[in-house]
Amino acid sequence: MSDNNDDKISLLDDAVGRDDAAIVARCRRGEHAAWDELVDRYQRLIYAIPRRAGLTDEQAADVFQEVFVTLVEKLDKIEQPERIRSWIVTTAKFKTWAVIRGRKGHYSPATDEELENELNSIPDAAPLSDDLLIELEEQHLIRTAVNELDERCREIVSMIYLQDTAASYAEVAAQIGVGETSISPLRSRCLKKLQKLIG
Amino acid sequence: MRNEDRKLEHVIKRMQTDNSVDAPADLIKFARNAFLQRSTAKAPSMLERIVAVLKLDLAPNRAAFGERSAGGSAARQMLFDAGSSAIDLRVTANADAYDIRGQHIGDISAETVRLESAGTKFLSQNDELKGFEFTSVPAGNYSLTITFATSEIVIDEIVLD
Repeated sequence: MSDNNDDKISLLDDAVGRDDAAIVARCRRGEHAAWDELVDRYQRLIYAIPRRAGLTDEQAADVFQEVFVTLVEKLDKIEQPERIRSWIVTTAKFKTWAVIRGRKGHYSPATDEELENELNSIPDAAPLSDDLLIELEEQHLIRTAVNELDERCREIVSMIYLQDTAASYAEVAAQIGVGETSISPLRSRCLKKLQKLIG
Repeated sequence: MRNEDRKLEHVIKRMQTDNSVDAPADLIKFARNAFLQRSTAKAPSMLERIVAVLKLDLAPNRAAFGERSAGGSAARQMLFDAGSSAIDLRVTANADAYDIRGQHIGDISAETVRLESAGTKFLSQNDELKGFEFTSVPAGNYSLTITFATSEIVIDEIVLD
């Protein structure tokens, strides 16, 4: 359940993909390493969308594969590569909805207008609400930023905030090899760095 | 509370409720390999295209080559010759669709296996035995393309009716 409406904080407003456009440009030049980077960056978000909509693992796998196949096909036609995150989320949402509605096979609307019409046909009560997508997108942004932190900060933030069970300061201290009393100020410093990266 | 603090609190809350998981390794491998389709499409002259020829088409429940003791398979079996390799396809009819199981008999593993008809595309990958599978395929006319790093094998027409 999203709390986005409660506190009116959104991380997405100014979060245009900092280097997404550069990665897409490299992909367009045929650099497989750039494509691998794009896959690594977005695989979790793309997989999360059908799963959070309640699809089975097998259906989620189909959606995941179709999104990447469509991305390869349309890589040269995406008009705003810096907004590829939005394109990916919209495509994953559309393909998830197609599975829910029972459409079989790989189908991609030929035009943006057709895609928009398809998306407009999704009822408000569908499993993929805008709030849920915002939550997933924000979590993706935060994880991307965490991955850009230096190794020690990445470890501290991940252990305290991104594990199923939050690690204690003692556990974090033992892991990174500092005294337990150092963890609180280190944590604060790392969170500031993270906030700066998120923008 | 200052806006910056509220934003930080929001970020922390998002992290604490993030229960997303990495996609399975085989899916990530598939996604990475999907880029090869683009590479081969960009350089068609470098891609060897082999059209497979139907050599054997056995209807369901018929024994092959006059076998007497073995019972026939419930699947329709087709065997295609593709130069130095072969494709074995087994098609099983379900209530309103078909399941296709196949195996590429050759030296190298495929990057992707595509089953296509107008407006519909199914994708699969080789398993360890170079097998592939498509399930719940509606009736229709399809082509099957097995793509390797520098070549592809095409079966132009598979009729499911």
